[in-house]
Formats: sequence, C-alpha cells, structure tokens
Amino acid sequence: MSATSPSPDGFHLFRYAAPPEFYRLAGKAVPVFGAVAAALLAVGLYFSFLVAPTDAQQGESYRIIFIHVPAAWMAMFIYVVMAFWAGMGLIFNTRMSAVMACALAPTGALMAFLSLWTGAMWGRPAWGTYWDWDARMTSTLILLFLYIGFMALHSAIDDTRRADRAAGVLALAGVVNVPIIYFSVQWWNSLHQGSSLSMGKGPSIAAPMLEAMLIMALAFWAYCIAVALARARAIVLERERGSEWVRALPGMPS
Amino acid sequence: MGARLARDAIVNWGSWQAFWAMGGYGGYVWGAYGAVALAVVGELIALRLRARRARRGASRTGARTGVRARS
Repeated sequence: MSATSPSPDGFHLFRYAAPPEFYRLAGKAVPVFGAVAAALLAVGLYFSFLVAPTDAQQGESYRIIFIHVPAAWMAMFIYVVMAFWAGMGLIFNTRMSAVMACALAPTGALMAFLSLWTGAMWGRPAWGTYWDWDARMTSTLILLFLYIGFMALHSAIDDTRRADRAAGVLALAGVVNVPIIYFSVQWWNSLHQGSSLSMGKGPSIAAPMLEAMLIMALAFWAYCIAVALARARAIVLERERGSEWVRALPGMPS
Repeated sequence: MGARLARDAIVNWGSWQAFWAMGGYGGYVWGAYGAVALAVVGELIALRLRARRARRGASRTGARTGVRARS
C-alpha cells in the first residue's frame, strides 16, 4: 500500500492524487461499477417497459422519460464534478485533478447531447415540436457547447499544464450555467414541463414510473463512473508514459 | 425469470408487434433508446481503442513532461 511515486514536493495530503495509486485503485473499481451499471440497466429496462403502466395523457411516448431525465441529470452533475476537479487542479496543482476533469468531459458531453436528443424525441409527440428556443433547452445546448469548448481548448494547447489551466478556467466560468438549467423552468415561463421530482415536494408521477426512472438514473450514474475512471486511467498512461512506474506495470513490454 | 418476463410482456403489450409499435410512438421511443444504445456502444469502443493506444505508447521511454498524447 506504499505510495510508489516520490513526488518532488512531498505533498501527500491527497493520497490518490499520486497517479500510480490512482491507476491501481481505479483498475479495481472500473469492473465493479461496470457490472453494477449492467445489472441496474437490465432491471431498469424491465421496469421501464414491463412494469411501468401506459401514461393516461401521453400514451407510450412518455417512456422516453426513463432515459431523458437520467441523461439530463448526469449532464448537469458531471459538469459540476468536472468544474470541481478543474478548480482543485488550479488551486492545488495536483496532477490527478486535471486528469479527472479531462476524463469527465467526453462523457458529460455525450450525456448533454443525449438529453437534447431524447428531449427532441419526446417533445415532438408531447408538444408538437422537436426543438424550441426555450430557456431550459437553450441552456442545455450551452452546456453541450461548454463541454465541447473545454475539450477543444484543451486539445488546442500543446503544453499539457497550460492546457489544464486554460480549460480549467473555462470549466469554472461555465459552472454558472448549471443552476440556470436547473431553475429555468421556475424562473421563465417555459415550454418545458416542471420537475417530476423536486426537493420538499412529493413526486408528480406515479410510483412505478418513479421507480423505473430512479433505477435508470442509478444505472447511468454507475456507467458514468465506470467510463470516467477507465478514461482517467488511459489519460494517466498517456501523461506518465515512459516513467518508471508505468514501465514497471505488469504486462508492459520492456 | 424468463417465464415471468414473458408473462409481464404479454400482460403489458399482448404481442411483439404491439411492443415495437409503442402505441404509435415507436419511432420516437426507439429513436431515443436507440440513440442512447449507440452512444454507449460508441463510447465503449472509443475508450477501448484509446486505452489500448495508451498502453502501447506507455512503455516508450522519452520525454514525459510537456509531451502530450493526442486524445
């Protein structure tokens, strides 16, 4: 369990900030979260299509809620976590912080895209339109652009540390968009419906529908953790290539 | 488990055609679920390729700071 990487400044407050420790631990966590995601997805799909009843007003089209809401939640949540790690990287200059931010961005972008896409698929039958420049949809589109901007800015700068800093500042500045998305349906008179689930109030949908949605949300959650950790491991190898501990990894050609 | 699934499917949908039709909203429902499935499969493939490339390049010696692997 000893940290194998002698860091030059001897800063060991964040133990898993040491890439070798992170690499080892994440290697164990990825299959666990992957298996949990697969199991929850199977149960969630069963509830989504076989347990949850037909909606009285929307018929079967409402079943898109079981992927739309989890994708939208993850898109917002991942952004907050990404901005957190970007901020940690800017303040403490820990190597793993920027790696985590970079590892989360593609998955967050995918979730933002999926929330827009599934929203369009639902909006057409429910509202009669795929898209509207409504506050929630527009701010979610901005979220997608923030993710894309983060990745584009990072890959445009050759020096990794400078890229981390520049993209980190962008991620932090963009975090103001997340509460705008979240509260948009209350602040503006919106085409988008209000929350199905909000703190301090009972849910506004039937119990089996809520169960299906929550199980799918947990499945998305586990999937995103597994994928982000797996990507972070790849990024660690990319950044630490040629170093002693990487060459000492089992299975590495010497 | 299999029998229970089949029974629930029949109670809810009656037939496979009814299941795929989704009460006339099949295009929207499967368009949404299909996009999620494609996205997940695509991300997993991209991730596997990136991890393999990273492992191959990792043992190469050389400058380790300031050199950035293209993502």
